[in-house]
Amino acid sequence: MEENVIRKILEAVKKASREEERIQIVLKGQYLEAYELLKDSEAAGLTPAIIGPPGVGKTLICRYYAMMTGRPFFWVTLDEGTKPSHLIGSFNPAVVLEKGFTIEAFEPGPLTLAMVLGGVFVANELNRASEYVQNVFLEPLEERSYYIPHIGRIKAESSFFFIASMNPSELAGVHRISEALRDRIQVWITLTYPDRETELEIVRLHCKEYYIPNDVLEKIYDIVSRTRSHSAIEKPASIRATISIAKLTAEYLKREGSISDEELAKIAKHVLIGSIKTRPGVKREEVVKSIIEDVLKTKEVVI
Amino acid sequence: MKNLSIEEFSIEFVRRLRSHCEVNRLKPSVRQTIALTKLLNAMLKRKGSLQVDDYVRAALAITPPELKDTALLVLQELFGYVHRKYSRQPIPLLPLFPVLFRNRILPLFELLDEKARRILSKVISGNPSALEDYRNLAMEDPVKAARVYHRLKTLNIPSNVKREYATTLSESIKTLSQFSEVVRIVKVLPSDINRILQDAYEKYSLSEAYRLADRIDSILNSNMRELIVKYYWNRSRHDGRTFPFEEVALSPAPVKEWKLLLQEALKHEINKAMQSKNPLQKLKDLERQIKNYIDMYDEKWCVKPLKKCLSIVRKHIKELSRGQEQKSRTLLSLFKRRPKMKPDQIANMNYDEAYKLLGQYDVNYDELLRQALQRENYEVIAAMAHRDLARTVKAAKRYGVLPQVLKCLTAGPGENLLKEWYRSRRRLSPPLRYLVKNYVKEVLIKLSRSYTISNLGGLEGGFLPSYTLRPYEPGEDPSLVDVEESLDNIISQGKIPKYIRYEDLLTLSEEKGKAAIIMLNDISGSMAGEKEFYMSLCSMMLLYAFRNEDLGLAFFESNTYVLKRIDEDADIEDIADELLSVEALGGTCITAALLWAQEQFSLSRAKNKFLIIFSDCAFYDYESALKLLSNLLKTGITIFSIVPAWSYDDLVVKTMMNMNIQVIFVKSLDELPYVIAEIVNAI
Repeated sequence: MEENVIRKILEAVKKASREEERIQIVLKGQYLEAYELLKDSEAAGLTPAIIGPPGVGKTLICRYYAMMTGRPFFWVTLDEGTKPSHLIGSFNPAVVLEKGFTIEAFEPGPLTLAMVLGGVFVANELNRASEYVQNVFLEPLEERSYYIPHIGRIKAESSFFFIASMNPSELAGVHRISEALRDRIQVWITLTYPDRETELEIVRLHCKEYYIPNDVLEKIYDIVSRTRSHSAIEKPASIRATISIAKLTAEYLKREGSISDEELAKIAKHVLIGSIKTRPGVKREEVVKSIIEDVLKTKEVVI
Repeated sequence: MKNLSIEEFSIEFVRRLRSHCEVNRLKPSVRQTIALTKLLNAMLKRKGSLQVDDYVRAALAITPPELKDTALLVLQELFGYVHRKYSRQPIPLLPLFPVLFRNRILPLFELLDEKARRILSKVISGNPSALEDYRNLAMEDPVKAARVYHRLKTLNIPSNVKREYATTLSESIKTLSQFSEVVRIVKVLPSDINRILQDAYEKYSLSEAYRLADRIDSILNSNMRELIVKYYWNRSRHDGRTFPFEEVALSPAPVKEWKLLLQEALKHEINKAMQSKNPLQKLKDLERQIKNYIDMYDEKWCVKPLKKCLSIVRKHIKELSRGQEQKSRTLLSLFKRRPKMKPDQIANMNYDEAYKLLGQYDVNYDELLRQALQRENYEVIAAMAHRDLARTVKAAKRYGVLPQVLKCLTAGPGENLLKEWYRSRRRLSPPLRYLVKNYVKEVLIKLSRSYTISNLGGLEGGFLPSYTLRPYEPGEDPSLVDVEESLDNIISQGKIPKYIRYEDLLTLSEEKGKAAIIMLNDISGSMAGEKEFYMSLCSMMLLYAFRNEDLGLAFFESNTYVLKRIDEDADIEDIADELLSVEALGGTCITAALLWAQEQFSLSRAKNKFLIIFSDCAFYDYESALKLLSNLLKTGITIFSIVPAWSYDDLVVKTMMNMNIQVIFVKSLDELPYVIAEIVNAI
């Protein structure tokens, strides 16, 4: 690899770790409740799971928890293709061929690292993993240990903390959690879309460098929140969508000075089309169009 | 039970939760009791003391998502007890923790929103503006206000204050639907029943209003249905509004106004039938419809007026049949006088031209058939059959050329022949119908295969992918080798490169998982017409698409017709045979079909289960149907309901949507095969 590229990668790693320290979160309402429950769960030796639709801040609250308790943070987003080796780690074939199955040949995965270093481990989208992978978590949760072939059993540090995060079961594409794993999760923390006030505060926090008038921000929230109560929408727009529309709007305002409802409708349309999922048989363009027209009372949104 | 300790509270909460939980798999175990105890102890350690809020929060947190609603109910039971013993101030049970469930079956326990909670807090703290706020809320949303009042009733506040809130709620009920929703939560009657009746008459059809009134009567044991029927009759007498016979027949009440409404509706229905193109057929349909209603009811006061209607219709049928022959002759003479197309002008044409002209002009079928056969123009014969199957086949039989004509049936677009089959089959004698059916069956099979392939692709296996590893076989594409797994395999065997063999390499192959699908098609009278054609096509499409899966098919009206059980092997020919013989008639009762579906799902070991219902949802037995659907949803079955957008039961469809059933509206029947394809592709 070229020296220049190596330098860039190292810089990017440093930058990421700096950003890790600067996690910002609106810790109020449901987020404060969730944070306190995480604390109590850990103190009680219970395993928590955070349940909520995509984009409500499940991972963020876990990351914040790790940061506030001064521990390394590890997370893996699971899906059908995830294998146990992606969690536990695997042997480097080249080193194995040279030295055999020694500890030097083992490259630990995030779960092993979290156990050994006593970090916070988040199994993101746990209910998207196959049962085969779900079973990997049984021993670490029950015994706080794991058997690695050729190396032996490792014991987790006392500060190792496991958090599961998952989507509600009514969303398409999720599996049922295996009975065994379900039995080992004792606290179920539900997060939903925050209330108007909290969500607007979150958006303001993410758009600190911009000025967006309150009435425009309210309109943006109204459009996004309408997707959450629309019966034809399976996966509504998340807080990320609100932030995206707000940022695009702010850029427009910076350039033009003011924004009309028609322009706001165009921006909202571009973001929403990609951030919602409609139920089978329903055209997302039509749903987005009707929502925007309904909220902004614009004559026609060209899709 | 004074001074409940953390442990005692945990045991009591879990015990009650267990007794409320109907699903064994979800029943909380002793692990939850331990978890709750631990969590409360941790909270106590952090905060120094515990309030009711903390108990509620902890209890909800250790409850798995499927039981959160039930946990709220248990806490509501415990609340009175807990707040009196543990807190000086009565603290109402407020949802301290957000719950994300769309499928709430009991609206009674639905959570209060921020506004309602604020009002409730004001009432508790004795804030003087509480009543005004409550009045505003009630005017805006009486149902929400009813929920607040329901909570209010359980609080320790003076009864005259409670009465004030009840009066406010009572005054806010303005529509029948609000009334029916409110009485499900609290038994409060509206202050002005006349306003409600007036509003119902202006907004709802008779059947809609009757259904709402029925709900109210079942809760209050009142006579709302009778009031509705009386009011509708009195108003319609003055403004001349008429109601469809079906609506009136399905809204019975033991009052004379119902009989009068029935007579009016029948008069209107007979007039409509007489003005139609085929009055005899229409009247016979009406006769069959009335017979079904008579079978439906047991009460004498209900059956007697219906029997009277039946005799009136029969009288008309008799008269019409007598005059039919004469009328036919007159009609024929009219046709003769019309400028008509000579058969030899058509006999040389291709299918499309002939099909078009045969739809516009009257042509002598016998002569055209003779000429087309002479010229060996089979396309014209196909066009004739696709325009009027019965007439063509009968002519062919007369001339002794039936085998030749039958062979021509499959020429041209199969859709036309199939649609014509459903229009013409009753006019064919049983032996002829049997002969023709074999050819139509061939067309149905070919047509559905082509629809399936063009919309769903080949679907050789199932449609849910899963992956398995297997050893690589020489001759296979080397790019299929999963390098990482192969290396793992080689290393775990401790092999060095020179000993590596083909079978040490592993390939990842995609396998298809099984799914269980049940399709229930409504073939009741309300769905008759071209629907039979599309139903057949869609059923056959599903049969092709899921021939390797567990597929069940049934049609329903008042009875259920099982076409294919989930565990039997499908013989496409047999199913096609059935599809071509089923006739749409009768009322809409889905309960038996749903029970059958439930039984079928239990026979399948597939992980993913889907129920597809095509219906206008005008179920007579909607209450038991909705209950069954909710049970099916609870067991993890995904339900799709395809609803014709031009006619459906609004209330039932709305309830289904609230239950999280995926409702898809089709604007025309042509869309149906594509919607089915879209569902299949989506799942």
